[in-house]
Amino acid sequence: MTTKERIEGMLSPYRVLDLTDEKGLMCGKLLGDLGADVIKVERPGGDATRNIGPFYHDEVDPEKSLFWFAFNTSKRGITLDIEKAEGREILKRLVKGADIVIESFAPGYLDGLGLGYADLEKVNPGVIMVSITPFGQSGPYRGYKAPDIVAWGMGGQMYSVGPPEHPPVQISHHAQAYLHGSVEAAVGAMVALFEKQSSGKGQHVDLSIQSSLAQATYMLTASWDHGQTIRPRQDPESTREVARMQRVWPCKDGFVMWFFFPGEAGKRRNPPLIEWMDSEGMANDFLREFDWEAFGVPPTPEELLEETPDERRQRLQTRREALEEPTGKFFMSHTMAELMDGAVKHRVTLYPLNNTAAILESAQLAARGFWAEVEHPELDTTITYPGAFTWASETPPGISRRAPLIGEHNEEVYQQELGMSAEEIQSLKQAGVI
Amino acid sequence: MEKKPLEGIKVVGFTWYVAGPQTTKTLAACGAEVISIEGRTRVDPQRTTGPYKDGESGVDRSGDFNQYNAGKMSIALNLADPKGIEIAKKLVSRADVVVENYAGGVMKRMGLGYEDLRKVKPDIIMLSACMQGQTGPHADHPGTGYQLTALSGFYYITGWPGEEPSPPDGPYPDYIVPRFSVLAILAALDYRRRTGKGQYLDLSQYENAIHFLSPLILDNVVNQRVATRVGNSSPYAAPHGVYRCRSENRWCGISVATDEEWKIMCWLMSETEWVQEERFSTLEGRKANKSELDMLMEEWTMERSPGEITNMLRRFNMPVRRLERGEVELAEDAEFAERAAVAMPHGAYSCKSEDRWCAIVVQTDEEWQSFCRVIGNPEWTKDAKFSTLKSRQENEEEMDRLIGEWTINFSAEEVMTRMQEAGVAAGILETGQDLMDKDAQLKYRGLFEELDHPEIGKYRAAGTAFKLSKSLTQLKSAPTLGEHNEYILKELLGMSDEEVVQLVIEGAVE
Repeated sequence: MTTKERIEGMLSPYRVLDLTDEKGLMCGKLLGDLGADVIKVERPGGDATRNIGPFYHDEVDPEKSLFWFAFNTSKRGITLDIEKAEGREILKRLVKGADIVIESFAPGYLDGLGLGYADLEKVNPGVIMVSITPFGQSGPYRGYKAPDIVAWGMGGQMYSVGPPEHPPVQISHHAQAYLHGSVEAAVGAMVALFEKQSSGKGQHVDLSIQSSLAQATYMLTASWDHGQTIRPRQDPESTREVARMQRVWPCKDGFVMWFFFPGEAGKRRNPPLIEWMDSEGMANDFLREFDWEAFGVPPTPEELLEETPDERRQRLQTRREALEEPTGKFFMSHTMAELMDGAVKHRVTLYPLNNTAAILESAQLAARGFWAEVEHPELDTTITYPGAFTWASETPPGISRRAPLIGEHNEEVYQQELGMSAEEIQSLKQAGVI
Repeated sequence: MEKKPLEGIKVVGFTWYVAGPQTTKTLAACGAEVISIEGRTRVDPQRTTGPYKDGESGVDRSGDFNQYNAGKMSIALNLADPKGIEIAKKLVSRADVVVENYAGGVMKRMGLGYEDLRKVKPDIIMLSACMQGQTGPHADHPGTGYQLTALSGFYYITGWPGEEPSPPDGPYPDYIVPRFSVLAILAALDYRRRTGKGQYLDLSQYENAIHFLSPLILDNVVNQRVATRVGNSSPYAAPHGVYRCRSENRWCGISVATDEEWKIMCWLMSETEWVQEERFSTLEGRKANKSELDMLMEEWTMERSPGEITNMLRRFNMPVRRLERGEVELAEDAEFAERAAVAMPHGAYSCKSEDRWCAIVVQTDEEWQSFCRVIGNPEWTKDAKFSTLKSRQENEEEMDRLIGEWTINFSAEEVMTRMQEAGVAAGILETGQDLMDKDAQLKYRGLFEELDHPEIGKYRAAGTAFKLSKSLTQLKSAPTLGEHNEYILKELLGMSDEEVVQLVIEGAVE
């Protein structure tokens, strides 16, 4: 089998060696989807990441991990034991021909093998090494362990999430924290690649997953920096009316997301819903005549002193019920699909709480040709994948091949590209190097 | 180390809220020149959204605006005016990249679509990042990142089993999209360098977010399984969860000088009857009854966290401080020192301590042994109910309760440090304060850079998540609205004083 004819992509000239585990797999996937030649280097027998579920037809098998499939598209795959001396030499030969090396081992591990950036730079001064770790290559927490929930919490993404009767809650299932780190690492790789055009030299990109999370928050670090305030999970004493308004609403077959916008935005965004309800005979005079511009605007001290806190609380509670009761009834009289269609038609800022099934049925995603059909001949099937992460007029990215099988491209890479003989490969196999 | 990696690249941003601004902020941190095209007729709503510096609203005082726009220049144009459009096009003609995240179709309607812009700069790279992409039946459906979080499935998979879905924190896709956007722009720049061709990138925030669900999408396609919310549980670890820890003492500094301030204070505390009493109604009266008043004040503050109290008081521009060290700290505070003679109540009052949490994850048997050692090998850990991963998962509720009885005795910092030193994964659920002031690792990496803002003075914003061994990334302050009008028009576009004045009079420059 020869290398597949590659369509010219944004990153076609580049070769990437991917030594990562689940902390970094998506980085290489994206560079591959952008056209780079990405080689996933696995340990003999296959990476441990292949044991992460879910699995194809729930059959636990390293060749059937859907997690592996999802984040290894557009990569070729070889096996190599870099803890063995011969393996290290082979990796160095591969590094000679590589532009980018991505890894997510614990800090210091590769240095210990003589494969750290200082070593690889000697082999190939132009190489860019991207290290993806929870906290970075150095510093007081460099040795700390960070499964998703730990990285997520330490990145500030969890403290204010969830209902108050439980502990704070993370997003369920696979690690979100690692995905943020992986994509940001791809950004770091590209910045270094850009810089290389002027300096001619590669460099070491040290990505901290925690930093990638801590840089992406809303009203969290800003509240502390600008107001020395810790934003609580829920503020039961809040005098802000909008903070108490409902966001998740049950409908006939699920939930929708809607909230009454305050002030200026409210004047623009809330009336379309009331008009839509009215067109179905489900609005009332209270809703029709509501003063949205004044809604949710913090009162002045003078206004506040006109009533006691109890009076104010009572008045807002009554008003809230008068707003929410008919709205809730209206949503309950429709399905999610009806509400989405109506929202588009009436230009209402309302969205369904989609699950994966609803996402797969989305008319919008279908119309944009988002989904990619990827062949898996050994499973005798074709699987639908999330497609290009962006549409591009000249060089659209996309999945060039399904995730590699264990050692699938050993021969192609070792024999045809590194020029090893069949005997050499055989003896390396016997020695457990590949 | 002095040269920044993207020096020489010129970017024009038509951005608002978070996704677009964070995209150009990363480019700016890496050395690109970023000109943000803003306006006064149509102000970026992020500029008019709190939290504001010291609780005082104003277009140059928004915390999240200043966070996400660090390192850029700002020009205020009226894009409803043809001359405003003309200036925008002049800026595009000298640029490499245009980034916009308005609603689908808006740029085109203003005459600033890709086809318009490539006429003034044939090899321009333009990235649009609206909610659902520029094409398709929902292209121009209005919404923000909050709604998109629901649409893209994250509400549905966050929360506790059998309960209503919970919203993740903030506009979640806004945290995802800028990463993909910068990646696409830098890849397109490389392609342009090799071929001379620019291009149009039509990125859908919805589609980006779905990439973070990929394994669950495949599970649905292949196994027809619809992923739902599972709280904090994990099939690979037990214990795996979040445990409540002991909190430190907290204080709030409060100072009431005028009778007007006292009235507001009374209003806020009106559930307690004593505040209405006549002997407290004047400053003299309050001073004469100082010790009683302080005791009663503390009864009220003890019921509330410092965060609640600062929120309440700040809304009415009352001076208030969160304190770590009580009176000592307050004495160093200039504003409070100045008020000391003329205010009562005035002082540091202790508050209810706040929620503190630490996540703990035990994956292997070895880690379980270490975990048990750290918590002092209590009897229950020897029970067969907890000896294997499977049995721990079966008895998760009981185990979590027992662990909670241990963690509550220690601060979150102690729990994390003790666990990690023994090789067990643990981490504080960090607040804004933890991230910016307490986390030793983020401090070590210098993630939050101190910047000098023309209006609000010193503040901090997050720099890049990656460090480069041979080049520098660094932020500058976010701009005030229209801060660089003159510089951009005169120095970059070569206009004369007269021309600029004329544009201001006509309203094209705001």
